[in-house]
Amino acid sequence: MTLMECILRHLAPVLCGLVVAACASTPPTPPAGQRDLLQFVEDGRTSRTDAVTRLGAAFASYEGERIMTWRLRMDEAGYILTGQRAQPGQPQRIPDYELVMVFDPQGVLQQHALVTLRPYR
Amino acid sequence: MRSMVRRFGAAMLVVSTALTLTGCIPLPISPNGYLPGSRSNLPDRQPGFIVPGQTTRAEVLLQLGSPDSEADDQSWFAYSSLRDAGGDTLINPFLVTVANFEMVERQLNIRFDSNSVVKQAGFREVACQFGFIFDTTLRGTGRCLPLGDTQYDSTDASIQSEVEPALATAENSFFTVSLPGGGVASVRMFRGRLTLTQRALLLEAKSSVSLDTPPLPRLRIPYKSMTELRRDSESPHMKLYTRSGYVYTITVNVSPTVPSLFERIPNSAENERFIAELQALSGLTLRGP
Repeated sequence: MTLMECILRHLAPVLCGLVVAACASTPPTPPAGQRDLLQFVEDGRTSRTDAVTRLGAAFASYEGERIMTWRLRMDEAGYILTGQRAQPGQPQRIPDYELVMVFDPQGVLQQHALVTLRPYR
Repeated sequence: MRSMVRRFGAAMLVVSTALTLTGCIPLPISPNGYLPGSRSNLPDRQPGFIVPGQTTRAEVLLQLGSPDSEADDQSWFAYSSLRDAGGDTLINPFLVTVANFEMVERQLNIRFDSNSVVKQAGFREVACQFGFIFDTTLRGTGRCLPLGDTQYDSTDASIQSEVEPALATAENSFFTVSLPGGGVASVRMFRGRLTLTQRALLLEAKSSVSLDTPPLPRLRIPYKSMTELRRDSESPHMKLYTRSGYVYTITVNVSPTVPSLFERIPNSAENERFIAELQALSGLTLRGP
């Protein structure tokens, strides 16, 4: 066996392993979004209780609970709620959207908007 | 033909040698866009829908979403964005990292009256340049946003109008202010006086350490807006967190001598007394290593 053959015989499995490892990738996480998450939102019909039941605690509330907001990001499947405000001084990642809902004194949705904070790519 | 090739080769050699020796091969740094902690929905001028005396808080929220920082009583909102606009770096024979880049900072401040209607609004956009050598920020141009009008923690008008006798002062202290949104461009560093009063900590800048940001800020942080006081691992620095999202790094120096920027201030008994007084007045406990 020549020196070259010896090197190739020992290196070949290592090289093959490296090539396979380089190609290997973790399986992509399945999209967790819900396309119809916000379908229930309708001015004049949706109540504050409905909103909190379906979306959970708001990201922020203003003027008592007259105005409430929820932050969302998006994947291929739809919207995902991103939860609560970070503690002061902690880094806050800005998600894609914020749902802003304005309720009347009876707690019925008067006006809403899905604000784009950072466009989803 | 052969002589032409030789001449061209010689010319190329001269040019490349000159470029290498002068260290002047600039390579562009591509813009990275908005930082992860920054919104991108702030336009390049004050939004036209904001009309003092007409626009309501609800209308502002429906257009822009929740602010990046706000007063406890929601009497003011601040929206800000920070965008990396790229720059250039120099390739040189000494392998020294030399880079220059630009951050574009936008800030929209809105004050509301007691009826939730916009009382006042102000917008600024500033391109702030930074230089790096060996990964150390060396300078900002002075075109960064000044902090003179960002006294967001000083929202309690009744307290501001009071004459506040000083209970303790530390003349030659350092303090930095980090704006919400994060990033190197959001930090301002000053040397100045710290004063403790019955109801607030006053930070009065006498000079700017890293950035020339006229007018130099006078900040007033009421104890009730403070949320946490943490000792930095690099004692005797303290980090002060407030409800507005601003973070202050404070180095107390009660001694009359002015230390140089890189000199560590001794953890003296006088400095510790000032910090103990701050804890007693604010009701916060200094935590950390």
